[in-house]
Amino acid sequence: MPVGNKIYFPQIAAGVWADWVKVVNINDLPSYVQAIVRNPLGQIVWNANSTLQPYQAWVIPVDSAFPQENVSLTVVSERPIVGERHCHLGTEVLAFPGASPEMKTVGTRLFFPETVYGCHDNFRLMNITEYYAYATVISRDINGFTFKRFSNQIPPFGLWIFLDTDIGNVQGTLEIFCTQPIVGERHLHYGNGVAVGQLGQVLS
Amino acid sequence: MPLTNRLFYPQVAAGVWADWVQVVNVSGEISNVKAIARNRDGIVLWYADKELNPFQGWVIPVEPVSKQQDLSLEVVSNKAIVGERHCHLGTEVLAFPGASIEMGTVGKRLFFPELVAECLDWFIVFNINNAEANVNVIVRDDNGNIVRQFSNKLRHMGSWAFSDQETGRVQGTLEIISDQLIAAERHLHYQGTYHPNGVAVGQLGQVIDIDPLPPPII
Repeated sequence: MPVGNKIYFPQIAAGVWADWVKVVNINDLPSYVQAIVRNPLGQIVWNANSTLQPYQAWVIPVDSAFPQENVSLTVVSERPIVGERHCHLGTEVLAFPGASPEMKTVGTRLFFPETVYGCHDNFRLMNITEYYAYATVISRDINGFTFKRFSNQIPPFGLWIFLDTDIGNVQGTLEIFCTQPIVGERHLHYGNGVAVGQLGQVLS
Repeated sequence: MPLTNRLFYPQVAAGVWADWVQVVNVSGEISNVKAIARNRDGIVLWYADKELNPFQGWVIPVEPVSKQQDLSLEVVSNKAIVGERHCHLGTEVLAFPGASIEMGTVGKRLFFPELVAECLDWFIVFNINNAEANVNVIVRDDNGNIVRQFSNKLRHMGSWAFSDQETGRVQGTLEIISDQLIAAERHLHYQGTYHPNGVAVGQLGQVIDIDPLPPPII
């Protein structure tokens, strides 16, 4: 399996959340790495670059660059790259690996094995293509019965966020179908200083 | 990409940690699902099974069995399946998807992009084969310099845990190379000047195999 040279983070959070993103050049040659930040409409609003030696790491200074607006981050490298993001607020930490088709965390059918009634579930989809993406969401209860369905279109490299109010605050699961490859994040907030971050599991 | 019918969880935690594991039948047909718990030596200590309707979830009742010792968990289904584990202690939650070959979370070369010098890093490696695995670990600093290397043998379906004592409390990265297929978890427990207590992060090793995808386990 080849390792990707392009990884995606659907969110760098605005406001009081502190983001930390680290990437590593996992190659035996130096690699030129570029970080590209886009707003929810997919427009590029910031970029930075660095040349990384073999297995050298780079903490991308993106958090201080964008304190006011939720944005996405794409990291492009000449050589294979892996990365990780932690998004902090007190004892709440949302942790995600960088997503890529090669890591099988990007696809056209995503599944989240859990939604929690009574907690706060927040979902975020990133369209990683230059085409409009049409996404359909199916919210099911724990017995597999469809509870809610809704859809939306996502601009090229743009974002779509939906919440408990959209999925019906159900104890169950969530599935997403899309016409283009997407990355999906789930943010589960327990409400007592605990948060869990998860990427959608690809069923494509 | 084919869906998987076999998921691996390298750990169901002992002691005060509370584990919750849910699997979901993601096929359009009824599925027979079996959960198998093993100790670190790969010996089966417990199992359970259940029939799941399409898209029905099952919270596997493994937790009482793991009170005295860490176990691994394998979930086998005759249809496609996905799953998730949360391991709780107060405000600390370690969250993992079920690992599988098809999901790209099982391999022979795994990478963790972060080690934190002042926090507690703990790793567990699970050999998912019926053959012994020879496992090598490489610890690097953030500049890519190798700081430590060590190795171990894992019994078939056995697991191995190591922590900061072995990795050397380095600010850097960790790579694991194995001659058999493995899944691995990192547990990061925050502590120290810049990291508030009561926080934990769980991560699966990122597979960076360059070989073709291995065939599914039958």
